[in-house]
Amino acid sequence: MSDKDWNAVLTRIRNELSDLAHYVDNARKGIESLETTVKLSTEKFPEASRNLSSITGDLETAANSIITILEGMIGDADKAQRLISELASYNAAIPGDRRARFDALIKELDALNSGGKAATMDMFTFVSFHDLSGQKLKKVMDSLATVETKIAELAQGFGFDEGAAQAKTGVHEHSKVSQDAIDMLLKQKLGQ
Amino acid sequence: MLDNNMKILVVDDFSTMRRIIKNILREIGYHNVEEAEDGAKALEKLKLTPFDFVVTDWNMPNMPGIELLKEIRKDPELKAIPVLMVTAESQKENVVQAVEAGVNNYIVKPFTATALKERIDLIIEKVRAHE
Repeated sequence: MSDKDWNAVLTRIRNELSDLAHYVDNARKGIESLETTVKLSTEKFPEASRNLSSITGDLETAANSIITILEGMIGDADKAQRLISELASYNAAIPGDRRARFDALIKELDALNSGGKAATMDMFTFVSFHDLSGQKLKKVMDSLATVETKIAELAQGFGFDEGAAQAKTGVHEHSKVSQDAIDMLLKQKLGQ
Repeated sequence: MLDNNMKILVVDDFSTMRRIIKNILREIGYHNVEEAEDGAKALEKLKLTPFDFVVTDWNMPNMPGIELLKEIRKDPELKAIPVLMVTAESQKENVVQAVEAGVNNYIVKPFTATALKERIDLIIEKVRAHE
């Protein structure tokens, strides 16, 4: 390769690296702007990751408060269930002409209470999203930190081709599968 | 003892997830539930007290769920305990790794009470069939 060609390659690689660095920097700033506890002065991803831990900590505190309320609601629903059952036991004491209406009211109360409890249980599932968000954010930060390290290594050592290729694929692709696919896989492997 | 009185250990580093799983387990009829915040603490508890079932996360500090699973399967006293992996890790390679390590079933977060019950029932059914 002639010097002219080599210089052209170097310029291209330098431009690629610069683009990558800007991309990573913008990504980092984008993540930082999500929450004020992440300081804009943060220079390095590891630092941002530490700040991210405080964000997930805040999320956990908030989720714990919600769960406490939900547990209270479930406790109330259980108590209401016992009261409804007790009320229903008075059925025999109700005059015959009003008994049908009494039974209908008990059934309606029971259905309302069961529906409320089921909805509360669904809320537990939705609250669990906070945990997933925290874990996924952490993975994004780890991946970006890997990219940053690779770019730094490239810039320092000029081990262009291999390094640049790795930097471009800093976020590794994995074959993510659905719960159905997991069940199928388990069926094959475990015979379930 | 694999029935509604079985003693279950829920292992997850997020206290909220432990509470969520505990509440869901209670709702589907399992009231005897204890918690551990990582694999290492779970292993300590398992060696101290008998448990009938383990529900564990994958990503945890100190000892991840997959290592806990391997430790359980290595220990003659613990190896028969059914382990359900409850995790955000839904990559095929994770599932394969867990199966190879001896997991009894695998469920991806977030999940519903019904989904959790189905997997626990499946495990119990299979363990009973082998007894």
